[in-house]
Amino acid sequence: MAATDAKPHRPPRCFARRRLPQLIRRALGAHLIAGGRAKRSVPAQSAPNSAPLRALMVAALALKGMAPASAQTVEVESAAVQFGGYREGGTQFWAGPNGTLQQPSPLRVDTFRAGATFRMNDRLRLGLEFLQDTWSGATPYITAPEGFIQVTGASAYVATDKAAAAGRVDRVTLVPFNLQGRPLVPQPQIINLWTSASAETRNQFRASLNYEWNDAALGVSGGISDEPDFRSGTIGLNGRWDFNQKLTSLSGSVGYTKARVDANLGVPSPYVDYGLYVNPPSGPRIVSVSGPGLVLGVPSSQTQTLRFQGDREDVAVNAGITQILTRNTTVSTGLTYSRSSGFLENPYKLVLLGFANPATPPVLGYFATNLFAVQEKRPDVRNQWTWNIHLAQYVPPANAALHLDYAYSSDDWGIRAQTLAAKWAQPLGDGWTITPTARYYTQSAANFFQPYFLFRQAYPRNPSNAGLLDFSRMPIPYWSSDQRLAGFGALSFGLIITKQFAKDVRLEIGYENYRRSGDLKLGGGGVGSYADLSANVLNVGLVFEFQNGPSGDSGGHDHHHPDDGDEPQSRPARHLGADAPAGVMNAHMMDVAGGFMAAYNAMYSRQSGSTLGGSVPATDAAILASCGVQGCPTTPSKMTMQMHMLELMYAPTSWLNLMLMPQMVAMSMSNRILDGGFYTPVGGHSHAEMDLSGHHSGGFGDTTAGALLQLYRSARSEVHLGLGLSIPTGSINERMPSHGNELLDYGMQLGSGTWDFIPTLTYNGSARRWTWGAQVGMVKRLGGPNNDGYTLGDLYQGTAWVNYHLADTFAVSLRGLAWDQGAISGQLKGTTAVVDASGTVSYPRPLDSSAGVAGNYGGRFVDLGFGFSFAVPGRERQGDRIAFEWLQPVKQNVNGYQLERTGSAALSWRMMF
Amino acid sequence: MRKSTAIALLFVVAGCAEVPAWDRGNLAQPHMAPDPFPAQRALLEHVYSSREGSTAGAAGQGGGCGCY
Repeated sequence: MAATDAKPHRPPRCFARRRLPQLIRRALGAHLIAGGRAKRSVPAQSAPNSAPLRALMVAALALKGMAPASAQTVEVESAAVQFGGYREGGTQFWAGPNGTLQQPSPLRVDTFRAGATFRMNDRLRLGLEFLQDTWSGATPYITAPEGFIQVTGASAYVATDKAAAAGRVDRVTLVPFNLQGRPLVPQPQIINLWTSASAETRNQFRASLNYEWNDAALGVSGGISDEPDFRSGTIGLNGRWDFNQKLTSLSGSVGYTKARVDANLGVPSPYVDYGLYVNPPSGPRIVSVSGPGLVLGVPSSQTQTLRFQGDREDVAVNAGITQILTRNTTVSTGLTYSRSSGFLENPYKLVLLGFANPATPPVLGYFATNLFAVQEKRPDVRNQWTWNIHLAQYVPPANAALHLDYAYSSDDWGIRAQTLAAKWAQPLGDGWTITPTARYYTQSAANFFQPYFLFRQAYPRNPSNAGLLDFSRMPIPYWSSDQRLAGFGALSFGLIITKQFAKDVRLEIGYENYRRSGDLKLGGGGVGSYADLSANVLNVGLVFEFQNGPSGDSGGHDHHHPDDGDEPQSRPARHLGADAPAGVMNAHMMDVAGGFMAAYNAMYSRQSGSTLGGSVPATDAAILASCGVQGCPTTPSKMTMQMHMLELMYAPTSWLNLMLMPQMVAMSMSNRILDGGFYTPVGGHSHAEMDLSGHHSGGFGDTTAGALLQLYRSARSEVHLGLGLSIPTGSINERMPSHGNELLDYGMQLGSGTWDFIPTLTYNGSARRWTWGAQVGMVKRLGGPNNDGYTLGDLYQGTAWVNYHLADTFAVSLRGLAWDQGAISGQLKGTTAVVDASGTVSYPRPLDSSAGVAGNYGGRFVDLGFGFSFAVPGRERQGDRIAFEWLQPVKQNVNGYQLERTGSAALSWRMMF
Repeated sequence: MRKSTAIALLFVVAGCAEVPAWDRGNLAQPHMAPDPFPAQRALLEHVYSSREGSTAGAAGQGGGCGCY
């Protein structure tokens, strides 16, 4: 944008001289790495020993004006980490005529985002971003008037009786009556029926390249988004051109997204007519796939589940203009056209179609009404135009910025939407900025939206299957009851608080309360209150904007000048442990009062292959025996775990570091049928058909808080004690909606459910190109059992590693790791209370898998770790490092029967300030 | 119609305005950036797009299904 041109610009050119030796050294470092062992005896900082290389570099650098000052260096420019949580509430829940329905858990979305931008040279920037979110909880899947809903025990469903016309409506007004009995009572109240979906985790990667000219910019971007039911790839191109002395900028962008939907609808429901999407000539389709589950209560690898599959494409084109109006005002406006085509339906939403038969004998006093629950049907194409305008006004007396946004959009589905948003960004001094926000949104309904559809005609009978619909003879072409397409308004208020620490680090906290309601629709006539919802959205993020410019000195660190002949080990005290392998926690301690460290740690681990009994592959009969008399139908065939952790560390004194480590986890498990396996229902839950192909869970995990205490330090070695406390912030209430809403097994819960004490003792040493370390630690559960009725086993572990610095900026590591985890004590609770003859109440949990057996957890393990680490480009002086490690299991001796571990990968990015 | 005329007029007036580069210090402040809080916007836009029928101005971003 033109407005940013007044920002301080790139470093002065004269710096090239100071920079020159460093460039040579970097080039040489890369050369040495490529050269491998043969060059090992050459100190990394010596002059190039390759005469042609030296000549070439000197020649290249001598060409004045050939390249900008730092054209050859890659530098990290910024990095960001963010945790977000979305919690829904304010939805109406109908407990049924006798109050027997249970309110399901509200919708919850947990998000983790990490990103970084790199300056490739003065003009080119590379941006990388990773995002993960996991959502779980209840969503409305069909809407019906009370009179069409059948309640049996704790279940409610639309009375779609294929053999008979179940519904009854008034002969004149078509108002629904009660389902059964006399007298006829009008029951038109509209009700959402809810379904709890299993948790779903999405991973998204994006990358972008931006090139800046003096008066223009061009960017390309691409990304992929992957979740079990939806996979998409997107590419984009954007440009900007400044003119009129940079008072005016024109911008434009083009984007293309291709997506594949593969929604799991579960085992076929007898209440749903799937006919529209079974064997269609083209477009989205519902297919049947077989997998592990129960058929008539018996385990089968041929359990049929339905998948709703299709492709969609989105194209968007945008053009905009930004104008500096005064020294305090800019305005920008733009027009966007987008076209979506293909599978535009929401695959999980059903629509109630009712056919009130006018041929019903008048003596009955109502129209007999056939009720059908069908998938929604939307047009295959949607064209949308959006116009937006943004005003940014600087308010000098307050040093504040007012941002006003308005957007109007219109599409050929009949949705007209308007958005008005305002922000007041108020700096308060001392690095604080507080920004209240407000947003109002209103939209009209799509012209094919209704809460449910009722027609005054006999239903179009499928000629080959009476009781099903003939979709070629429907009275309307499209139908949807998805409340996103209804007429409503939404009002939200929020607050963004930012605090700038030092020069580089900014904390950002955002909160918004969102309320959606038909009553808030502009001009009235919005959808009924059954569709109301509200949500709280909270996020906390850290943004690092590095001022690495050659003259920049971050955090007061000494300039580690390349010419001074130092080896990387010349300042070992400051960075001892900072180069520890990626999988080691608490290895590095800061010894400068006021120091601050932030690290991003990611871990991925995988179990697949054989199921071990002790340390050898087990037979299915042995695995089954571990489930006891209750038996179990399946055993895990593959399990993965992802973890994303933010590690914050602050040194109030030189001998004490305080730490806080929030994290997000995501787990996934696939099952196979156990030979001879069987299922024993407990209490009232006897689901004859069940999909047991796998489970997912994810969200915020436990948070560790703690301290590191320096016990010993010399120039080349140090010892520190870590005292950590794991706070049970992770949910242990993760459930299986497809399995009577029972708790997921122990390994799929997000936390331990107990407070855990985590002491560690770490030793670090160094000599010349070598650094090494060792750590012993444990996880001791304090108290228990947790609310689910069990306690995870304690864990003891020891590890030792060695690093070799091949170059100043690059090191390789080798590590050994051994640990012993105790078995689980106690037992997961079930949902059904069972009273025995003596009157004792217990909550037994039906076993769907051998992973539900407490004895099948823990064991003794030995891993070998292979890793490397490198200094973050542009942040060498601060000691920032990115490390990667692969942990290869070499010895496994499991308690009971468990899936073999096939390895773990760890990534860490440590930033010091 | 009156609105669009007013906006067109605004730009004509703007074309005449002279704000030299050295006088753009206020506009260069971080909280005057066109999008001062991009991380907040990204998170909230995903919320809006999964709860509203029109993702005004944010089409074709290739996010997830959001079909809950």
